[in-house]
Amino acid sequence: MDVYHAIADGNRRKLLDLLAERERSVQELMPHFDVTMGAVSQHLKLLLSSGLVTRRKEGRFRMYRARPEALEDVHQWTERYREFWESRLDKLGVFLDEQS
Amino acid sequence: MKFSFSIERIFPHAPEKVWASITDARALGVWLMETDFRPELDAEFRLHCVDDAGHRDIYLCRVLELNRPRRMVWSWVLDAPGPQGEMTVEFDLEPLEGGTKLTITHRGENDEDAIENFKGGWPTILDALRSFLEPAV
Repeated sequence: MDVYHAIADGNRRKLLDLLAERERSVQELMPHFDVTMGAVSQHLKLLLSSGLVTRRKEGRFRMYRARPEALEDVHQWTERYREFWESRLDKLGVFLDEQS
Repeated sequence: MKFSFSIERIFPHAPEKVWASITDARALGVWLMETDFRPELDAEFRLHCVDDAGHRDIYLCRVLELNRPRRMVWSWVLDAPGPQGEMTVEFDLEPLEGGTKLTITHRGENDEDAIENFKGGWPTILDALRSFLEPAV
């Protein structure tokens, strides 16, 4: 699951903010949203599959929390590749200009 | 974890000329990396990377798509021990008035072993990511 797709949605970003503060169950998250529990569950499922949140069972409840390591890692990783391509495309531009 | 991003550049040169510069091994050696690339579907080739510190890396690549003069796709993986995330690089060329738009889309998987511990605040990271995302379409 593409992380960028995961964080593109405003409700999902809000879920990540809440789950970064502390671990919460779906029931604890619901009061913060206008959407249905089904919608919140779908968002959480997507966040789980993208590796941005983890989940554990506590009795009857499933407790969710954010994995900020995942997001920082992606940010650093793509920044490195972005810089790499920017500098290579600069060189391509120079190369093209030099060709007749 | 999967990721992808795109970078675009407009060059004041015809698509065929840009295509030639991205599909010729000597040209690639000048602007990208030293390579034994061949413009042939399924061809396997290497990219030799030397960074500023003199550290050498080799990337093992394969031509996955080759549609002259519009699109080329490579698979690309670091030649190193341990699990390496495989990546693909897509080159898309669009003719424009007076030039060519080249879009490079880099897709890949992150190497889980490279994860560093999280330092810093969560809101800072989300803000940084928002501004990182904004320029992209």
